Amino acid sequence: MPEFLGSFSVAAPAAMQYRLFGLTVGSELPSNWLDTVTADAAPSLSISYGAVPRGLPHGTRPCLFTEVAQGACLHEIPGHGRLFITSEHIRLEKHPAGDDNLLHAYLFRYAMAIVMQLRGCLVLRGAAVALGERGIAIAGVPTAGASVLAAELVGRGGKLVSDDLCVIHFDAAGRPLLLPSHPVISLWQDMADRAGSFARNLGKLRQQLEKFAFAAYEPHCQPEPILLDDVIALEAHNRKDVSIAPVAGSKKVAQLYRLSFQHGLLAGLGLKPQHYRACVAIAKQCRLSTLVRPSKADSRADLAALVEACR
Amino acid sequence: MRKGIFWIASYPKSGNTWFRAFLANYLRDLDVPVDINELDIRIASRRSTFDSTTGLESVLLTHDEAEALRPACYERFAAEAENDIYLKIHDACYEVAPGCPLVSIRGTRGAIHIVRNPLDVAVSLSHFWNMSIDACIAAMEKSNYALCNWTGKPDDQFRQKLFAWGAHVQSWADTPWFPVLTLRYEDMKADPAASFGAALDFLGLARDEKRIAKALRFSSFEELKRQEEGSGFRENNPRSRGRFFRDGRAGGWKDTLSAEQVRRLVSCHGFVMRRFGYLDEIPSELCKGHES
Repeated sequence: MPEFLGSFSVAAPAAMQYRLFGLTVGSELPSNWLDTVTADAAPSLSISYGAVPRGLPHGTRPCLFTEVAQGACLHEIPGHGRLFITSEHIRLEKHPAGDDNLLHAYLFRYAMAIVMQLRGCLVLRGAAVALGERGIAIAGVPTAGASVLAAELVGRGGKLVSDDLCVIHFDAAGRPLLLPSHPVISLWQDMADRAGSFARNLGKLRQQLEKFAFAAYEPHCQPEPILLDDVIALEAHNRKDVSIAPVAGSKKVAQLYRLSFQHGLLAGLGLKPQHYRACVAIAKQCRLSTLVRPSKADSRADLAALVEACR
Repeated sequence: MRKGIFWIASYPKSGNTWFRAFLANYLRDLDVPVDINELDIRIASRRSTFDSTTGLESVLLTHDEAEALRPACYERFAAEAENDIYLKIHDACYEVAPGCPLVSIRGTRGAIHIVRNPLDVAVSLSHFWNMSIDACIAAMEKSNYALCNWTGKPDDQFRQKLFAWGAHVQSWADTPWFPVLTLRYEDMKADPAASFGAALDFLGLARDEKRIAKALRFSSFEELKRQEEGSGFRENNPRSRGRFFRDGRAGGWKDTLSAEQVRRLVSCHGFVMRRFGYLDEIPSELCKGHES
């Protein structure tokens, strides 16, 4: 147990166990996003409720609401709760007026991203799909449209690997593999009809937002890790057409770093050198393209066709 | 002196981009004009700036939750700055909580506030928003008007409360929280060296007349238009009726607005228009109730 946990002991997790990014997760938090599993071995990640430390010894604050130290992260969601995250534990302290649904969403986006980074994975913002044997990470800022494009590709026969996060693990041979997460994709109302063909609507992410979680049916989910072939950097632009362009050379590394989840935290977490190595490894082994879409037009069919055609 | 944020504030289509183009050219002092797509003076409502500064996932927050946190975000953004920061802003200047303006008192050094005749603003908006002039006039009248006020899919910018045009102008011109230099677009057109020179003084930048002349040449309407025709302008509204840099004249409304449209704008914003001298060129029969 990391020493800075101090008196904040990590309680044995409750009976609920899930599988996420290849980990067995023991959790006190119920989730209708995940199917429970029966595992003989002790969970490799525990999620529990409880008080979290107010600060971290030798911690730095790279963002207003985030403090990091070697191997640990404290994150506050003002008015809702606080998260304490290490590679083995996620502790959640809920504010009395906190929104359970928001905290749940944070857990699967934010906290899991930090956990997987601390476990040596490279995490990109976005969504990942499998087209046949081809693993594709669609990366971009949260409003870029990665989930929409992923949903379109799954609707056309692809398989969902993950949404919100693309988690890349390196195997013993140093090859980058996309790890499947829970088979849930979150989409705004305008994509609800498209998702209906391959997924079940689990309801709103938050009562106040018109964003819904969809659980993909089993035939549309990628069950095993898949080799990463392509990273697509998705951007919205005020142009009227779609375009795709390869990224080459050292620009690939810079682009991968820029697309990495909360890259401003990596130095404080002690992960920057390994993260650069991972970016270089992916740059050497994978194609990277910039895909530009019109910001105010529905271009998902054209985008999907371009991604399918670029082999 | 402590560093902080200088806001480049205006109602949309009031000359904010022209000012930013001038400032970018003045600061960089290159031998060629700065690329209009590389102005590097970001808009304050940009979601990605908030996310990287706070560490929060803003797409999971409601409009009100994000708005309440924006002052702290700007304060933090300013605290990290090694030099003064210039941020474009279209939001009105209002309190998100008692004594707490959206733009953060502690993070702010001041604001350049640009105001333009609302008659010209209405015409320009109709091209930019691809809406009828009447619809734009109606938007300018709404006390609760806001940009990016989505209920479904979020934009890459936060909701920006504009209020009605007159209230927007007053919110910046009369803010009690920090120094503001209000510039009239029409004065900037008539005597650019004087207006932009005063702005440099306000920003605490050394005034160099040769550099001002060059920056004005490199940010002239013709130059901005030339660049947009060559490589586009990423800040243009994808739904706009044409180019972002379309006309740029002061007083173009005289060729476009009907008497009824003028009367309606004066009726709603006359008090503020009078203050900035915008009623002077309007026939008195269209200014009923706002005569000097």
